Amino acid sequence: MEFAAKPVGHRQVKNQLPQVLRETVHRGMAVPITNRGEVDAYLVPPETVEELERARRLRETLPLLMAAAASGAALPSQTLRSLGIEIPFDWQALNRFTARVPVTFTAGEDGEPWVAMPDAQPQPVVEDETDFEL
Amino acid sequence: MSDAWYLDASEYYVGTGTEEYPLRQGDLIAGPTVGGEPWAAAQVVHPTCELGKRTLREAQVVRVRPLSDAPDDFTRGLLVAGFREEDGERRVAVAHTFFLPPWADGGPPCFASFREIATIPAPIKARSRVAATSHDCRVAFIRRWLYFRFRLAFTFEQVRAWEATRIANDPAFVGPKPTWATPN
Repeated sequence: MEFAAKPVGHRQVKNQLPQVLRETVHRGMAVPITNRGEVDAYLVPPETVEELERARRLRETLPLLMAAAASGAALPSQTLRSLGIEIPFDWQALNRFTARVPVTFTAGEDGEPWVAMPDAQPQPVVEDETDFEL
Repeated sequence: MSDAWYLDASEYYVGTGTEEYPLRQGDLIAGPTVGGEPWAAAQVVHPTCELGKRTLREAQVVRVRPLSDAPDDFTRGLLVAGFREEDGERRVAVAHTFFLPPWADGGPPCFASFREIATIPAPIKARSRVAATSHDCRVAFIRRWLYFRFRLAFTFEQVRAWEATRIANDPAFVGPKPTWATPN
């Protein structure tokens, strides 16, 4: 990521946005936006935002991964793999770890956001005893 | 609170006095032969309240496979954890499975495959049960089953609260009650 773009003033952003984007952001550069000589924002490429989001997620997950590595629990982890950290599989160590170390999910199996359902208490009902053999 | 799916292995099964516990959903039975193929074991997925009915002719079970059926250690890790880390995300993994530690000394760790479902003749004989699952284990099972079947994400505590209410109000409940199911 190159941060070499020259600062651009509010007025230029307002009047020449397509040109500013073409010459900077579309080339992968972040652009400092200035107001009266002070930087008060950045225009950044979408990939940068994605990288920041990824970094945030990793920062949040890293303690769990480090704890797994320290416990010898072979947690299925793309990040540990990419770092070359291979933990020998031991089902007992992994089961003990996942049962005892709190984890919060962020996504379901298909990548859908993990959202726990709202609380609802069932009302006790008495079953009708009528039955038939079908 | 944790979103993790599974209990510690020591909390899965009723160790002694299993005769006090009637056969329930989540229990393990000796493997039936299905389509000419002998199963290592089976997990009862049929509703508990149905299992004792005289009109029941067939009960639903799912296949239990040894962990060694998985192709590699990474997959075995997915089966034991039930989730994976990917790009910083903690994602549910292999939702169609339920991890089962050994229920007998020296036995292999296994997993139930919710995709492999069969019906077997009912009533299921009490002596065919190889492991009675604890109430907490059944809560974990129900939670996983709900996610697999309906993609409904509930916490362990939510499902246990429902079970507590249900058990406390069930006049036909048989066997020892869990400590967390007290009458209203």
